[in-house]
Amino acid sequence: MSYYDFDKVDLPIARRVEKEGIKALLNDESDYGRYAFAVFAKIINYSAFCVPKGFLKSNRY
Amino acid sequence: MTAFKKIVVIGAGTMGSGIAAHLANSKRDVVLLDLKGKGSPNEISERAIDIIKKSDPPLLVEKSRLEYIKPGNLTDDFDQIKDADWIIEAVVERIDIKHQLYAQIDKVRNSSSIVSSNTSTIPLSVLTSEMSETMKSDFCITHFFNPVRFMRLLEIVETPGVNAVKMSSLRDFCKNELGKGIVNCNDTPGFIGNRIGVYAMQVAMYEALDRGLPVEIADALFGRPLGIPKTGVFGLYDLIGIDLMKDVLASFKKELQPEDPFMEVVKPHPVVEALLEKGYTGNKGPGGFYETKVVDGDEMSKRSRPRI
Repeated sequence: MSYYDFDKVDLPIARRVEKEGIKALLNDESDYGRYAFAVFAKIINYSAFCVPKGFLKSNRY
Repeated sequence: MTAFKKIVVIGAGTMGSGIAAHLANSKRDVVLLDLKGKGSPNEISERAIDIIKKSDPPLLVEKSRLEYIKPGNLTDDFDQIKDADWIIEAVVERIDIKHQLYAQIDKVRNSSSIVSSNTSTIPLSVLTSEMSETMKSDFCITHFFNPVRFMRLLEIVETPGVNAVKMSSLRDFCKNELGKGIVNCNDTPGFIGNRIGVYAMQVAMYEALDRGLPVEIADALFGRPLGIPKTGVFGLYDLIGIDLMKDVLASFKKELQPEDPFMEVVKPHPVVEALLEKGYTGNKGPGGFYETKVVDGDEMSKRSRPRI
């Protein structure tokens, strides 16, 4: 295995997210948008799966 | 109510020393214990205190708080536990070592003390399986996050028969003196933060590699835009240690039910296996997903990514 250099990543879509919020990325029809949507959807689905398992106790604090 | 005047932290690694530093921020007397050194007896805990001193961002609110932390070793200074109000175990995630340590603590500690573990993966039921009933009622998990001074979350997992008065004192102290936001968790694998957090890392990694997305692009997307530290997922893997992440995943695999969706991504990705096979463990080793290069004396000035 070898390493190779890459230039500093500067994605226009990342700059748009800073101004417009995460929806700009999730609604983007590019590979980047599709990647972010797939990841985000799975995380939310998994969180929803876990909650009924009772992993959160009642919180007084 | 417990005053928490003296606290003993066992384990001077990243978490143990971070916890000790934050306790010192609240002006409590802290004894930081680790194994006896081969040279100086306290060299391990002294080295940890030195790291606290030089930490950036600083783990101490001001350097003078260092005077609240006393170094020690488990061979010569174990009796420091005798008059401690709180004993925090932050040693390596090996149950045999923890069980042995708990048995020793049980013999020495005073009856008004409380004992907790900073484990991030081992269930409370496993930690307490060989414990006396008395110690069990004074035991809980207090899972701090790194860096302890800055991460507000504190997960607490308690045994069903735990001493409620002591737990209430502990919660009040952690909330009011340490500034923590406490989340009470059930005894489930990875509790909450790591259960969702590690799953998120795995999904982000699998989706990126399987889609052929370059790691630096995935990190640029998964980092700041998704509200996650700027390391992104691959940079975070390197920071934590690729070998350690493999151990964490093995622990999840052992504890989770087969129908849990986490099981789809619990296996280390083939790229991870390939990196480990060649000894690439991340930042602590020769590199991982990224290689850190020293350019003009600045370690972070240039990075490259591997051909994988």
